[in-house]
Amino acid sequence: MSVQPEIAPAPAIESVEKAPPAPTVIGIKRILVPVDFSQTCRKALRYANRFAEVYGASVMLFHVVDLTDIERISLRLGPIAQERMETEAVKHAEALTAQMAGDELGDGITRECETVRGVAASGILEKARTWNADLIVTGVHNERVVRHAILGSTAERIVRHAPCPVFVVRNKEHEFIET
Amino acid sequence: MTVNDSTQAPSIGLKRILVPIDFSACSKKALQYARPFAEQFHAEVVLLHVSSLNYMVAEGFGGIDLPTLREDLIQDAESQLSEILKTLESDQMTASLVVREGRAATEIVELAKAENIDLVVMSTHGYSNIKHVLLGSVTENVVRHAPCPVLVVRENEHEFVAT
Repeated sequence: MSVQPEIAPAPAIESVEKAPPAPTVIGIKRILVPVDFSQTCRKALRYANRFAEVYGASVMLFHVVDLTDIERISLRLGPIAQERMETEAVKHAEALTAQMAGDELGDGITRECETVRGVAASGILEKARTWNADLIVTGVHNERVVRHAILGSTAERIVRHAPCPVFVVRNKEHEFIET
Repeated sequence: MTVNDSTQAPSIGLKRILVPIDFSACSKKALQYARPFAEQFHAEVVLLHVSSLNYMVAEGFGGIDLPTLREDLIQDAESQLSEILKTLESDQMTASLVVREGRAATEIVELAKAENIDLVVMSTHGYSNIKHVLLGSVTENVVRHAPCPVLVVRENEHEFVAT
């Protein structure tokens, strides 16, 4: 009877031989960017791209297809329609994610695109853990910061629960890269 | 391809990094993250401490008037910040210190605007926040209102700098 832990063990430390291009103690190797196809997330990608260039990191574009709306519609249309809608939604999201990666990431940047079904914040947090992200770069939607809401709820949950540092960008702000 | 190419990467114009410090272990961790970025991009580190004596008792009830204590707190903060400043300057880094009075989040955001800050590095918590709260109110408010990107680090996490 094995007593293997269900959760992956502590993150492996990057070996010294794989020295980053810059002489720095900053070891950013894996950057997770949650994508929702907004302008803010485009900007997050531009920052991720710069960090990837400077630190030789790879970028993961991660999209979560939120099933809440589809489930609601399918209450009327039945399970077959639901399956079709989900498949279409995932296909559409995959195409958009690939397009965004092509638009915003430099040719030399290693990238992965992944689309899953579920709830945005928990999906992103789980990905950060399992993929061993060093940094999450995420956008906060200005327009979603309405009086009763605290941050965009997804961004807020990421900042709260992330297993790694989180770099937060906004739609309109003072920039330190060209966007 | 020289090593200098990447240290002078024109694509990242990081000139001024603001690190709010309340002298908690967690806020010092923010400094540990800010340092290598500042070194790599030759950015200036702006250390900020916000003294909130007037807001400690109860917001909305007006300030409490303890002139001596106020002065002591500010002087103490200045001397503690200058200690940190010295360690940064001994490593050939450019740094400056600011002590302000007021509400922490407001002062941090205002300073970031006024001083053309490129990046704020801060931890999820400082002193004033209860451990079980996952994101302190000061950090939350800065993330909401900062005029620039914010790098949020936490006490125990997956690290990408040696701490």
